[in-house]
Order: sequence, then structure tokens, then C-alpha cells
Amino acid sequence: MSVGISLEHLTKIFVKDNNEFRAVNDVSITVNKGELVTFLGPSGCGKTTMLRMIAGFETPSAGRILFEDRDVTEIMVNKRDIGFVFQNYALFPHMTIFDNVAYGLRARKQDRSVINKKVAQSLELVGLPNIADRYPNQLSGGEQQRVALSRVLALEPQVLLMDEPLSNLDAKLRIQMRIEIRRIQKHLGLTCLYVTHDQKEALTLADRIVVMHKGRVEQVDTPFELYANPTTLFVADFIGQANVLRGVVADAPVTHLPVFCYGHTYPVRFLPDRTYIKGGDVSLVVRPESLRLGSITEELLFGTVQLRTFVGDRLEYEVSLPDGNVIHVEEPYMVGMPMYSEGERVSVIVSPADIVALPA
Amino acid sequence: MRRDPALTSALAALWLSLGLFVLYPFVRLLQVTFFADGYFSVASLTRIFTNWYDRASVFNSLYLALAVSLAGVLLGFIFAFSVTRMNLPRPIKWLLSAIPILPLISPPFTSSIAITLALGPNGMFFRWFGLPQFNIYGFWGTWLSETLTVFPVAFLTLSAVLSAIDPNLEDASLSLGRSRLGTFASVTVPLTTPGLANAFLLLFASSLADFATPLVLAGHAFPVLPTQAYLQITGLHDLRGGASLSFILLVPALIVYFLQRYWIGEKSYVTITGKSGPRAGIRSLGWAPETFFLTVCCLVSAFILFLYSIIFLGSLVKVWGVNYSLTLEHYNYVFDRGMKAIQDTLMIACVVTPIGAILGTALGYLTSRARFPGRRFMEFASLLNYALPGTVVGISYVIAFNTGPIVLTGTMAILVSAYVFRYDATGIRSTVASLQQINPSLEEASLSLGESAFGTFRKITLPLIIPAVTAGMKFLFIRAMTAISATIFLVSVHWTLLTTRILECMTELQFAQASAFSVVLILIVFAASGFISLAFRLAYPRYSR
Repeated sequence: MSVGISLEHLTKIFVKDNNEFRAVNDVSITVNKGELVTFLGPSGCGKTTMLRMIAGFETPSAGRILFEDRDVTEIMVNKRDIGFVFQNYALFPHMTIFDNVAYGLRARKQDRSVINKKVAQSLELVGLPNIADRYPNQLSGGEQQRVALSRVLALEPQVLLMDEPLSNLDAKLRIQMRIEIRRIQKHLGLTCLYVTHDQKEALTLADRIVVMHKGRVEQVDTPFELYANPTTLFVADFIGQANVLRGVVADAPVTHLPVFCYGHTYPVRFLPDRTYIKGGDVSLVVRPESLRLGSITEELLFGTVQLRTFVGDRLEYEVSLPDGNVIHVEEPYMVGMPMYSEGERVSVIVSPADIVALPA
Repeated sequence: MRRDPALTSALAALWLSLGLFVLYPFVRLLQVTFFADGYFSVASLTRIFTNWYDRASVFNSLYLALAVSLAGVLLGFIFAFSVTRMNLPRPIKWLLSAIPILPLISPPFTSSIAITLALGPNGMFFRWFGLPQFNIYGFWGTWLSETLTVFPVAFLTLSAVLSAIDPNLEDASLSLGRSRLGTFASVTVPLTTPGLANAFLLLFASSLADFATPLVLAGHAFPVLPTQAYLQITGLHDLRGGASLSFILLVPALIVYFLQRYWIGEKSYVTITGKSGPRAGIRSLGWAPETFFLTVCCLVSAFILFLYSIIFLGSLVKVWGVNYSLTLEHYNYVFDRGMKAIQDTLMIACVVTPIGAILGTALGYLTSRARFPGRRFMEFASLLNYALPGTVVGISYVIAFNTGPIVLTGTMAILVSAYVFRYDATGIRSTVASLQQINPSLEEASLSLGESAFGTFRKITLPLIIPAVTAGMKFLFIRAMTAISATIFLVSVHWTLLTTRILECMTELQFAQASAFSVVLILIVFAASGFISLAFRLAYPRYSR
């Protein structure tokens, strides 16, 4: 039922006021059968345009879209056999929930008995078995989104496309729904493309994440790889929080890359497929939660606490280094742990294995 | 989205009909005005400005339009303010918003007939109040009657604008230390400015185009363009002269249309305030100004009711001003001698309404949802005949379809097409407005669920815009029953209309028969619009919730 998807050099150019704007710029990706891939990026990065091209709402300016071996680039949306879940649910307000879910089945001219069975099954699957007679405006936001999902699942589509489906829900419901979506997707073995600007959602849901920026793909990787080894500064900064420090390559890389930074040399991690020249500049990426503070010694990197914020499960510090740069440090909060007040001079402790060097 | 083959054929049909019934007559009108014996010439225009009587009609028209629109906007504002911004009891609010609608849906001669009966020779009004007789024919009569007929448009426009202004803004001004009247002058009125300008332009255009009122009330001393063009053609058989006069009428009408669409359209303040919690209550303006506003409203409403009761009474008495004994003989006349006009008019309205509904929905849908080259031009063409004065449209139809490749004179088709392409504008606009409320993702959802483009339109879009379509149908039916300015050129012995029968009665001074015709016409219009509402409610019970 499910199929793999290949995008080949997909490009979309919008023309506005005689100016060309490349919303999607030469994107090639392969999505495996049964995989859940999220498109992640800031607003305007082209992720929604990509999804709309795959659905068939937009025509690509160049490139091809393949469902398995079938080229669907020129096929109308209503012949593509996709399921699309909209950000605003797009339930038909003048139809009951039953009619909404039966809509696609009726368009496929299925028998009445088949329709009744499939609608019931599909509503059961999303946990709303008893609402068939109601109208969309009588449901809560979360229920409406479940119905929207059930309307699509009833058709057993080849591909499930979701455009920020949870962004109109409140925080708690969002977490509950994303577990639900993941469960159903795995249960049915659906190939699913999921657009979001929420990195937590992407990290928790996806088999792989496609990070997009200004119409281009920055990195495609599993959540773990993406977090641990971002290949660009944009990805480092967009996924989680990141401190970026300047450093100079001290020697050629072997198992680690020796980098000179703030008077110390750190053996840090590096990307094997990039070249690092001795004496060249690198950006050092280190997550705030990888850093710890300690009492001041000259042997370590040191600075002055500028701001301390308590956020319940952790303490967040902003520490200004001798050259004026500010780095963020997050320490998990435990009763009785040492705390540093604003204006205090502290050492910043870091394990070099938590630092990734990107060629500048 | 992929191009649908159905779209291509729908577009072809629309372009063909717009080309034939909107663009072709328009081009023929320009051709007759500017080409004499195959050469370009402005002689017919210069002739108008050298003939003092024609020249007078140009200036009279502009002068009248200015006076009518100023008075109408003022009156409309007072009514709108009273209804939307004053704490009045509900029944009074209802009356104050219902009475101004009467002139809007009445046949064009109603107020002229009533004013003639009340204020004209033998009129009772001056005698009642012991005033000296006053000649109502000319500027004053026309002005009064037109103002009463068109001010409801200003009332409706301004009510919408005034009720959209957030009372919090006025509260803010008061909290900053302004007085109530100061707030009114410095916040409320400026926020209404785009609405006022819009209303002014609308009234200016309707007064400029008004044909029925000056025909009855203006007389020879006060010639105006639409009647002058009419007399030129029907009296003197001078098609070229009539075309030239109507061209002069066309220029200010088009200017008004473009100003209204592209200048006012960008200046609306209404949407600026955005979200703002629960609405604050309306604050009183003080008793003196409110009393003044209310007095004006009551006097005008009473006068309108007075005029309508005169029509009713006038149709029931033997000879107005002479013998006030009751009789039904005028109604006998209407149902005997006027039966053909009633049947023809009803027949035409019943044909026009469904055709217009289909065409208007298609035009509104395609110009706002589909992407195709020439979309803006199609939108312009679909509203052109509405923007043009009816006299211009009528004359251009005469020129286009009396001779040449397509001859439609004397047929029902010419009347139907004139109505459909002229009065579909309301349906098109309300369809467009209602489509703007519908998120395109609903249609995309339907397509992605496997439904075809046409199926999507039928099952999703149409049920959601049906209230707008119904409103358009109602307007179209009312106009098809009551319009005269364009169609007076197009009636024939085969097809005659109620409005032209009323005009004939007026010119033969059969005021009682004219009144009886008007009453019958008003009753038909009320019954029909009630029927359309009822049919809609039966077909779509969920909307009445």
C-alpha cells in the first residue's frame, strides 16, 4: 500500500512583482517506504511549498516527483492517492463527521456497506467512535484534528502528508497527539511526510529529519545524528541551542582535531568528510547542557556570570568570556548544588568530546 | 493546480458572453460616437457643447448629482449613526433601518409619483399647511425625490462602517481627556471618512445615471443628460446624438468607478483595529445632538411613509385632488389593460434570475479562485455594465443589436441579456466576498481526497456560498421587475414592461393608474423576495440556525 518517494532536483519559483523567488531550490531526497520524515525549518524556508508540490497543489517549476517508480509530477492531486492533513483541519463545516470521513470513499464510488465499515474503523482508530452524527463546529480542536486524520486514513493512502497538523493545539494536547500520530503511522506502516517548525516535534516523531533553510536542504539525518553532529552552523543553532566559539586548527586531525581556543588546546570532534587546514579558522559548536561551571582557576576557560535564570528543572547561566562573547550554560537543578550569583567569576568546564568543529 | 478541461470550456463560454453582451455594445457605442462615415471625428461631442440646451444638461446633471450626493450622504450618516451608535429601543432601531430600505426596492417612479401627488399641482401638502403653491417641477423636485431614493445606499454603506468601528477607540479618546463631541469629531468621523467618500461616489453615480426621476419631475426647464439622450433617440431618432450624450455620461461614471475601486479600496480603516476583547458598550453623544439626529430620522421616515401611503391611497380614489371617493376601477384597469405587461415582466424576471445566478456564480468563482490570463480584465468586464449608467447601456444595446451581424431588437433575449449583465454585479460581488471567507484549504482537502474539480465545486464550494448566491438572485429579480433606464430603449410591442407602462400612465397624466401599477409591482416584488428566502430556507435548513 505504502510507497517510497523520490524527489529529483525539485524547484519552485514564484514570481511576484516581476521578482523571481526560489521557494524551493533544487531539492533531491529519497524517502523510504514506511518512513516518517519531517521537514523542519523556520517559516518561509520552503518546507510547506515542498509538501504542497508532493501533494499536487503546486506545480514544480523544475524537477520530478516519483512515488516508487511512478512519475506523478504531472498528475492531478485527486489522482495521486495521497492523504493530506491541513494545519487548520479543513473539515467541511456543512457536513457531519460521518460525511466528512466518507467523503473520499464516496468520491471513489465505494459501496454503502464498505463506506459504513471503513468510516467506523477509521474513527475507531483515532479514538473517536461515537461522534459520527455531529458537525465539526461541535468538536474541540483536538477532536477536529483527529477527524481530519481519520478522514485521510479511511482512504488508506499511499502517502500521508501533514502540514503542521498540531500547531493550532495547546501544548499538552500536542504531545498527546504526536504520540498518537506516531503510533498510527507505525501501526499502518504509512510513508509519512510531516512539516513542522517545532524542533521538539521533529525530534520526537521522525525517523529522519530534513532541515531546510531558504529553499535548500541543509542536512538530512536521524534525530540523534542531527543533534550530535550538525554539519552546518544553521542546523547547530536551529536544532536545540548552541554556543558557537571561534577557534584555530592547531594540527592535522587524527582521531580528534586539536583546536586552539581562548588560550587552551582542545581535542574536539570533527566531520570526517570536511577538510581542516592547519592554522585555519573553525567554528566550535557546543551545547549549553554540555557545559558545567566551577570555581575559578586559571587553567580552565573562565568568565563572569551575567544572568542567572531558574526554570524549574535547570539553571540557565549567561557567562561573559574575557573577550566579551557570551556563552550559555545549563545545569540540571538539584537541591544543594553549588550556585553562582550574578557578577561572580567562574570557570567553564567542558569535555572536548562534546565539541564539534565546523570549518569556517 | 493542473488545468482542468472543464475550466477551459467554462472560460470560453464566459468570454464569449461577456464579449457579446458587454464589450461589443461598448465598442459599438464608441464607434458611433467617434466615427462618422469611416473617419475619426469629435464633431458630435463639440456639437453638444455648442448647443446651449445640451450644454445645460451636462452641467445640470453634474450639479444635481453633487447636490443629491451631499444631501444623501448627510442623511445616510444620520440614519446610520442613529441605528448603530445610539442606545435606542429595538423596535425603533428596526423601523429606522427598515424604512430606508423601502425606496431601495421600489420601482423607480414611486417617489416621483408620490411627490407629484403630494407637492405638485393639486397637491395636498401645501394646502394642508396653508403654504403658497410652489412649482415642484425642476431642480427642487428632482433633488428631493432622488435624495430620498438614493440615500438608503449611503445608509447601508455607512452602517457597515460605523458598526465596525471599535467603541474602545472612542473610550480611549475620552480617557485621554476629549469631550464627547470632540471625540465624535476627532475619532468617529475621521474613521468613517473612507466610508463617507465611498457613499458619496456611489450616490453621485446613481444620481448621474438616474433616468426615471428627472423624466417625471425635471421638466423642460431643467434638462439632464439621461433624459436628454433618451429624447434625442426616441423623439428625434438621432442615434449619433444620443450616443454622444451618453458618452459624456459615461466618462464621470467610469471615473467614479475607478476611484471607488482602486482609491477607496486601499484606504479602509475598518480592519486596522484587529482583535480587541469584548466590545465596550456604546457611549451616548449627549442629549442635544442625539435629539437632533433622532428628529431628522423621524421626520424623514414619516415623510417616506407618507409618500408610500399616498401611492396606496392614490390608487384607490377616483380623481386625486378632485374626487376622493373610493374605487377599485384603477386596479381593474391594471389587471385588464396591464395584464400583458405584468405577465411579460414576471416572465422576464423569472428567466433572468436563474441565468444570472449561474453566470454570476461562475464569474465570481472563477475571477476569485481560478488562475488564468486576463482574470482582472474579466472581473472588470463583468462589472462594467453595472458601473455604466443604464441609459448608456440601453443606447449601446440599441446600436449593437438593431443592425449589424446580430439583430435582437424586439426579442426577449435583448431584455434578458441587458438585465443579466447589468444587475449581476451584486451577485458577483457577494459571491466573491463570501469566497474570501472560505479557506482554500477546504477545496484542496476535497481534491486531495480524490474528488474532481467540478465535484469539489458542487459539494463543497457551492453549499458554502449559497447565501451569497441567493442574495444576488433576490437583487437580480427585484431589478428585473423594477428597472427602466436601460430597458426603456429595448421594449417592443412583443415585450412590454410594468415600469414602461407606469411611465406611459405618467405621461398621459393617469396618476391613479400609475399608482395602482406601482402598488401591484411593489406587492409582486415583496412576495417574490419572500418566496426566494423561503425556498432557500427550505433547501438549506442548516443555515437558519
